[in-house]
Amino acid sequence: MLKMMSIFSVVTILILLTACGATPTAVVAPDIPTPTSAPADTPISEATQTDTPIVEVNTPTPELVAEAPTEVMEEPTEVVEEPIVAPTEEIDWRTVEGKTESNLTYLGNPDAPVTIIDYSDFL
Amino acid sequence: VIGTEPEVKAKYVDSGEVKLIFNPILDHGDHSLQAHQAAECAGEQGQFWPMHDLLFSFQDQLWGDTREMAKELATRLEIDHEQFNTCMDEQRYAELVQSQDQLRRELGIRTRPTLDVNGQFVVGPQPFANFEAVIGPLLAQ
Repeated sequence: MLKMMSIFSVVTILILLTACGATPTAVVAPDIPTPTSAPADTPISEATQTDTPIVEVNTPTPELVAEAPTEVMEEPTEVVEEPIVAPTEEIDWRTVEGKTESNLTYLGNPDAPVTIIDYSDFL
Repeated sequence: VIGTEPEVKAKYVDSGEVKLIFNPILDHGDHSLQAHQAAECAGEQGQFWPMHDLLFSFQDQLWGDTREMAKELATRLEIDHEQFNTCMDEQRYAELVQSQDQLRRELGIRTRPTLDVNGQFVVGPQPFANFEAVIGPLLAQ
């Protein structure tokens, strides 16, 4: 009971001191963290501590950074060079031989504009 | 036609303007038959015209055993000689050559050589200028 009365006296003194404008810095419990630095003469109450809005700052996470658009390198397309067409060699018609419909042997261009039929003997 | 044939080949066959066809004439019996078969047997292996040239070049040696002479001439060609000799021994093209000669007779062609140039006949040995006079206008058309 005596202890209770001494605590009550201390509290009462503190209230009076606070009402008279004294800075209760020594009374503020040091282990209560304050999210923001308040002016030294601003009384700290539980209300101000709990009502402080929590501002979430979106800071880019490493993943987001990784997902940031990067310059897309186009895959190099294979360049197909057209073959250089060598000039067509002239056909040596004197080496081209074949058979006609009547099974005679011809020499030269089968589509030549002029046809010569040579009737001859080897002797 | 061996006289002017090299010139015809050089000027017109080489350029692709003329196709030259050979039609056999059998004026000398079995000698002719063997010589023309030799050309056909070489022709089996794509060497008709080289053999044709050899036969004309050795014309004066074809009056003996023509078949054996043909076999000897064939050794100058890059062909399968065994195949060639078998062809000659079998007389593989005798019927073909005779039928082609028969067709020539039916056309009334009697003179050697006779050249049919797009339907225009040049009969007998002629200077090259005469062939040019016939071929030139045909090519100009």
